[in-house]
Amino acid sequence: MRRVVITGLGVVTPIGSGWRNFWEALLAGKSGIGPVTSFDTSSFPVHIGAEVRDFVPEQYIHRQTPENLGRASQLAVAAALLALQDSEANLARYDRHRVGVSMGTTSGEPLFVERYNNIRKADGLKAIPGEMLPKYPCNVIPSNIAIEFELRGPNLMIPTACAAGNYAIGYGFDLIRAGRADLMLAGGADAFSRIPYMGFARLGAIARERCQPFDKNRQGMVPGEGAAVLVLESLEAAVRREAQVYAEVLGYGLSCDSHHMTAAHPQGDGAVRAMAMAIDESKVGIEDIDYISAHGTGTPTNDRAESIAVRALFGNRAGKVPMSSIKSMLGHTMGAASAIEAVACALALRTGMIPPTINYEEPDPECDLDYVPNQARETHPRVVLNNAYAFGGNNASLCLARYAV
Amino acid sequence: MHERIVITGAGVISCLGVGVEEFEGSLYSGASGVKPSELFGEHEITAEIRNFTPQQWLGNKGIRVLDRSARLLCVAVHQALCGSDLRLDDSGQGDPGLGMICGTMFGSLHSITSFDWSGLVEGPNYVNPMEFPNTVINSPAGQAAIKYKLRGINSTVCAGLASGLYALHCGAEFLRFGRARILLAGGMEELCEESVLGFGKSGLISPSGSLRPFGKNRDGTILGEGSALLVLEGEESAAARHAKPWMEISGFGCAHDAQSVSAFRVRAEGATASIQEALASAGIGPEQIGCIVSGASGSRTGDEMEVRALQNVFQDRLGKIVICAPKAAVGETMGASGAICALVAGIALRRQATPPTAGLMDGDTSLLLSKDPQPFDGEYALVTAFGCDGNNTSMVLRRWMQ
Amino acid sequence: MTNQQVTAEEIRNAVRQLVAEITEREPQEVSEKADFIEELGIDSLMAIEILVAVDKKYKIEIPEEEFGKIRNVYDAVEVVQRHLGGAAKAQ
Repeated sequence: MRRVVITGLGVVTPIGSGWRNFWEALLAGKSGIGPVTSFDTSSFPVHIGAEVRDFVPEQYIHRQTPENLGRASQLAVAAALLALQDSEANLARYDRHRVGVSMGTTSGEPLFVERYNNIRKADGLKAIPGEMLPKYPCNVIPSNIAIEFELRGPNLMIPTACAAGNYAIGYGFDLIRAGRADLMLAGGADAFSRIPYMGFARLGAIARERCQPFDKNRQGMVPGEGAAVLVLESLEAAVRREAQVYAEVLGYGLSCDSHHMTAAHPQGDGAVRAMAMAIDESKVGIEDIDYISAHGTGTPTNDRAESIAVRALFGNRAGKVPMSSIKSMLGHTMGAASAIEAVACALALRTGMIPPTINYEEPDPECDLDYVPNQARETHPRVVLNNAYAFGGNNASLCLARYAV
Repeated sequence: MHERIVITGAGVISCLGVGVEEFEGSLYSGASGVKPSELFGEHEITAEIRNFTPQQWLGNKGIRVLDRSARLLCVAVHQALCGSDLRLDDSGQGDPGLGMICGTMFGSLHSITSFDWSGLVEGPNYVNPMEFPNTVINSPAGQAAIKYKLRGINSTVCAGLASGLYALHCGAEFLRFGRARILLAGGMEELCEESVLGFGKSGLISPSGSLRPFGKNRDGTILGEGSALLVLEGEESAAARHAKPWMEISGFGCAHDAQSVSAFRVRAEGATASIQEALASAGIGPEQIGCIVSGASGSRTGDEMEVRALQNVFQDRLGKIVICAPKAAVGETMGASGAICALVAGIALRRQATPPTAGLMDGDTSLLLSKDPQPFDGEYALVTAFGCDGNNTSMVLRRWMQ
Repeated sequence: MTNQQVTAEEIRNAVRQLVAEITEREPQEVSEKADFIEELGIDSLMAIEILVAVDKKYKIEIPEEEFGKIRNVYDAVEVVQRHLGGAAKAQ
């Protein structure tokens, strides 16, 4: 089986687009959370979100008409363009049937559902336009990337909610590893939508002021949006074309709690198994993991369960492995989250810096690990784990390593 | 990486019945579920599941929170587990080696739309929190995992009409990589007012109310619903638990046309490439295909594209290979269709006869179609699933032989 | 139905009916003092569902913090009564 490396990164996030802006903001502890502007929140108990502001689709979308694409597709195509440019891969030299796309999402293109209901309320069902439906199924996101860049290989959407980015990167990794594709664009995308916002607000899961993962006084998560795409290829191909290598993908693990649709298993059963599978498949040991990118949404139960799971697996080493949540800055970008976090992991491996958990003030006795409070840290990690958990009890952990020639 | 992936059981629910036996009986009798709708009014023609009472399989407890998609999927899980000696008692802790991969095109579209509608009309404070989990696309698979204690890999995949075959392919890959021991893989799609309205508005539905795959006068498709799951495992796992394999997944091919999300590519480059790749990965030539189970759905351009792709690959031999189009009987079940066609291929391989293409009247004479079962002598079946969103997939299944 | 006319008995019956539906039981199986979490298996999601349904029915807004303290049907009736302005007569 082939070794798989990451050779290009593209992000569109609430704290900046392009990995350089994104990384600078992350290390500086900048927050992308602010008052929601996409829709009126006056009838909601909460008003903050992490939106991608000043996004100009025309800057990124050239082969298609930008307004024909849903917002998640627009964000995804932009991230794919940035990733391809960053990788310096010359697509003209590839067999396009061996270049594919694998994406994750929570809601796909939910703004079409919102529009459907808005029209229904204002003018009745008769007024629903005919061209809306084909633009809605969530696999239009990878399809639109394929159309934009003429990629004819495998093309899949893995809509496993808030763990979807890791699932999608895992699938891309499998295809490269098995020699079924030469280049994969893998990641995740979600657009800011009132649908999840209403749901999380009604569950009382949204923080009122800021996102404080693992802090004793954490109040909840903050919904967000964004997209990330990683370029994956075999190490052999990357070396041959003298590509920059950010990191190597070693393996991943998936599991299901089969416990509750929205609540994490209290002992972190599935989370422990997903991490253990990822470590096992990567042929490294628990002692090799030197950074964890936490799922860390900022809700009381998630952060407690994740801390318990890490402690259960890592034992005495748990408190010695730094684990931060960049959702403190980005909010929860849903299906894009773990893909964006994978980009952060790759950059941590490449630059030696790990991003902080901001807004961390008071330690919680139930969350007693090293959360890299408030300040980025230079630790030169070699092997890192990227955790992601989702509604439906879906858990996915991805293991990445520094690539040294 | 080279272990043979076998299919040792299946669960299915569609307008042709529940469970493989009932489904097979209806299908081979030439029955069709395409009828005036009871759910959406008689002016709509659908292939819906009538008098759907999932309680008889799922019991009453816990059913309240399951929407139609989840109920369809759970019935398929129930059937698949029962038919494979995998039934777990309710007190069990669940099996971390047992997982599921569900293909779907829309997920619970009705739940998503209704949740948003209630927030829009009544205000965000009055949305039902219990309905929120059903708005994520992976909710049916998550609900089924909770109900049946499937603790292994749990994934949902979407590739439009190709979702079902992609799910089977992903399942086979996961097993080869050792990520699971047994997987229930396939697809699920519900019929709902939003998809009926949306497809109707988009001009994809047959105005004459008839689904005629490869028919000269075909004028569109008819929507159906259902779920089919195949029990996938490695040859060794099946042997260890004395499960009798039924068929094996020999090859898979996929290609995207990269042109449009709403129009078939009539030149059929992607569809052709997907068949060629499926044959190549199975290590066989086109002459070894015994029958074709086609995903043709009565679309003018879609069926034309499919004929061209088949001609490109099989050339002069095409008219000698028996072919069937099960959507004539079960309707266009979208995310479930690939899995339903794979199940049909498995049944056809076992019986060495393809099922009728229901109500066939004016079929393309270059194809060996029939409104009756057609016997054949062969080891391999080809299944196709092509979509107007550019996704094309093909799978080669092989009758099980040691 | 105006708020003034709602009696404690009516609220009790309505809440019992609601709890029965949500926990998939018959209303007579839901006793007034049965603990929501321990005896009826009501999780946080179900609790919010009850809250929303009660809010909707009586056109009131019970804060989540207050609702979180409710342990059984008896408590729920009391809280609803209080939010209806104490107009409903106790049994």
